[in-house]
Amino acid sequence: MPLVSYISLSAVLFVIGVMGVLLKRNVLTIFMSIELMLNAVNVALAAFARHHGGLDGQIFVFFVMAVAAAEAAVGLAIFIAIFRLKQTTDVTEINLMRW
Amino acid sequence: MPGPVFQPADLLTLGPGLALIIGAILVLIPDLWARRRGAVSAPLALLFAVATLALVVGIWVRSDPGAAPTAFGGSFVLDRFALFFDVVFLISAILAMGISLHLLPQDDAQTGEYYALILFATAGMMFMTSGLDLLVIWLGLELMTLSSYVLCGYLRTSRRSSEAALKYFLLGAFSTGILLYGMSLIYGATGSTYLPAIRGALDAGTAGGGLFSLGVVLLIAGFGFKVAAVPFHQWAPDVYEGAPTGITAFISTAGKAAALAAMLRIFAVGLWGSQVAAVWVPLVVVLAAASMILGNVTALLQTNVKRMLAYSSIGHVGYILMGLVAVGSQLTGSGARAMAGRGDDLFRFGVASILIYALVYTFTNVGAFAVVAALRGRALAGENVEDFAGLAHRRPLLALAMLVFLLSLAGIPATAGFIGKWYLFGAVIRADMAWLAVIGVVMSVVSAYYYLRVVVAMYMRPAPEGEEQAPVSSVLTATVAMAMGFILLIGVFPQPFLDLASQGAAHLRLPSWLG
Repeated sequence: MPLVSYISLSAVLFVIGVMGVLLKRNVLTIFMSIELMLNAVNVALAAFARHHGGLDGQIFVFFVMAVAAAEAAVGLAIFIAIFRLKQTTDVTEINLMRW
Repeated sequence: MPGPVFQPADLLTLGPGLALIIGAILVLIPDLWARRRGAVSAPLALLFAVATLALVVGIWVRSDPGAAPTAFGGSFVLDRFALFFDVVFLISAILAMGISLHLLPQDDAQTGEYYALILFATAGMMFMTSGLDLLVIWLGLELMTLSSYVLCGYLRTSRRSSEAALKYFLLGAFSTGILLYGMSLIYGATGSTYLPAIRGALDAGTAGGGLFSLGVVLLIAGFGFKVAAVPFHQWAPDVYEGAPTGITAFISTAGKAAALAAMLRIFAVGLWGSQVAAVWVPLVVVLAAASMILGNVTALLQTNVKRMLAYSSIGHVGYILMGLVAVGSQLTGSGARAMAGRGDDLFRFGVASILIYALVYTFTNVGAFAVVAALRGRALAGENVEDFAGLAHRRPLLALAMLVFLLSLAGIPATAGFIGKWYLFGAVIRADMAWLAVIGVVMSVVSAYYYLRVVVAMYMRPAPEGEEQAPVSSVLTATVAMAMGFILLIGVFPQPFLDLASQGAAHLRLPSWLG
């Protein structure tokens, strides 16, 4: 398949992710949408690496995956902390300070 | 990429950052035995930060003005530009630890992890500033932000702190996604993540087109979130208000300085060319002007001092972004004409003005947050403007320190803030964009109004009756005194600091990785 197909797929994934972050109200759904954005990045990086014939992009993908895992660990811990205090995962109800 | 990818000597070039990471791991250990958590580890962390500061200063003194060591196939460089920012980060970390050593025992929350995370975040900032490869810059950024998310939510039984962490995390992770997508598009268009190679592709004319421009735009949007520039600023006031005060001081100074350093590195080394500058310079102009106007005007409406300082820090980001505009504008239209024949001087002047402002702003803003921390009592959050009423009668020295910090934030002569603004405004005027400097000056006048509101409360209003105040610990006194001392020192004798900033700026463009 030509490069443009992969980049189109990546762009579609990225836009779905961005829309999810902007429109959803549940913190877990928002977080999943962010992960989708990161996966869109991975698709783009891998496709470009193949296109350029180098390994830079492929290596970048590994780092993105590793950091995304670390991010998930920190993020889920924060979600649990806030759920204990407020018994909710809805961002519109987490508004002690103005959002 | 030139050279072998890894040699043992590379670890020496990594020195300061590595020292901090080892220090952070050691700091975690004493809590296993200590009778009181944090009793040993907190001072130990402070010691490591001070020792690393000494190491960085030592490396600077012995560094070569005409060359800088690189590591890992050239993707990491320890030049004076990075060393200057390392000093800023370490000062911010040390002062933030000073605030935390005073505040955390009050919350009964003193632990080693907190200080270890500050050290990790500082190491991340150092890697980010030294990165010559998009991958290294991004990894440093992530080390910094992941540590900051945890630190913001550190008081996990406090609703405000947890909420700040949630907002910071969601918007931070979102902005990371945008930033990364921008990086992937730039990689796609140029075939490399190595900044000098990206510049090579630009010079050779093999890069360009819509995808590349989109990548640059996304990169600016991502960094816009990280530095909290308007219109990407919504998270900042909530996070700064809710986070522990020491962390607010840390992320609002060192965190922003690190993101700005990375922006400078990427734009001045990687994305340096008149075509790409036509994309990013106008965008940064908009960010700078919008941040200055909206940040300062919204700060007028605030009654919580932490929140007011948060909006004011958005305004200050606007000032610093003016420096980036001045650096970039020599590639575009009017600036290019204004700089015909003297471009290199102006480049250096623009970068140096950003460096000096980052240093000045760190002392000033951390100092102001330290005074807010000092006001905290058992029944009192000490964060509202009314809480400052009559402070000059109750604690004249603390009020005097706050006066110095606020005057420096407003940019009144004889304080460091004036020197910083003078050079930033000078840089944009030299770049033939005086109208932007006019916005900056007008907004500085607006900012004086809300800073002076606190001064009026301190000096002209009576103290409320019978209010109990927690005693100020000696470590917090030392923090405030150090910040105040340096602000007056830089304000009165700026030349040595300007020379250092100028040397740092000169290193951003060492020919070895431009050729």
